[in-house]
Amino acid sequence: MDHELQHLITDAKKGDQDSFTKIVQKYKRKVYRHAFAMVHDQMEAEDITQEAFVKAYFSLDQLKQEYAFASWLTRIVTNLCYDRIKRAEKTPVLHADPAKTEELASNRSEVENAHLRMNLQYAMKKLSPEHRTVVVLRDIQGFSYQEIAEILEIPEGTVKSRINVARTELRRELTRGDRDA
Amino acid sequence: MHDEIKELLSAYVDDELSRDERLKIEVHCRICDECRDEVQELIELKEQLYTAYEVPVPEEWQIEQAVLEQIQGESSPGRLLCWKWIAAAGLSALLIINILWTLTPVLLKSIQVGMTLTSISYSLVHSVFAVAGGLPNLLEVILVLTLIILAASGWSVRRLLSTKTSG
Repeated sequence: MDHELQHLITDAKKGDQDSFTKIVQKYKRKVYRHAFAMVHDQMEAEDITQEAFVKAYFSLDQLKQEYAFASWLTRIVTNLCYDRIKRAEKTPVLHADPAKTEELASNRSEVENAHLRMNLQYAMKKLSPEHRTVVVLRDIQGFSYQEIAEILEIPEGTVKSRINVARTELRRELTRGDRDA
Repeated sequence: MHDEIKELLSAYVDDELSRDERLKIEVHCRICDECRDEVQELIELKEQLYTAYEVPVPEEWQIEQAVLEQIQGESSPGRLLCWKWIAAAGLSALLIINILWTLTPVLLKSIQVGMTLTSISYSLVHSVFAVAGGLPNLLEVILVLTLIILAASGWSVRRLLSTKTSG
């Protein structure tokens, strides 16, 4: 971990809001991507990002080791995403038509890319929140199995098997999508 | 062997295996087309996932500002005095008064009943002691009774145990 971040966290712990703003600047992309990959909705991902940072600010005292900030923040985001998904399951809403993304693509390769992205996002939505989370943490955020185990507070063996199952399901869903197309 | 290897392919592409396990997979993939293809597919899937979520942070999104405003709003001391809190405190006070008001007769009645019950049990205990004092050889009687009860319990426990082992 770089010294600059360590300083920012120490200052933010003392209540320095400017330092915390810099932390937000540094991590907003990561948090937003994580949230978006979990909920697939821009507004909701923005809300989760904001909530995560506010929550992090008020519980900074509980962060004992500054170097673990990224994992600690990821745990906050993961829990917020779980809460949102659970709440959304109770009140089903209509999502925006993902086909709109495809219309924006102008040439063939972009159309293909958009199509692939759409299929992947569709397949991700079909995974259970637990399986989706491990894929997000590994392939989008780049955490190691050990770090994921610590963030989710589960054994490393469980992380390994969850990732395996999640990828098998994703591939099955993608092949099905190609066949139906 | 093949199935065992298949289970490890996902961790293999994540570079999360021991040296021995890696070697085992590499040797197996030289002879198994299916596993070799799967490794390739898994690598592609990982790359595709990464790019599929390379979503840009929305433009015009003032997250730093929004977070700061919320933090300042939630940590200002004036928050404790805002109308929502006053209303909540007032409502709870009203509720408590209301509950006490309706419950007062019931409470009074139950205190009366409680006092009567206490005095009855007090006199009962008194009379029991008086009767016990009048009886001769009370201690001996109690002793004999205890012994009988003990013997009876021992006998029934033994019986229970023997039924269990035989059944």
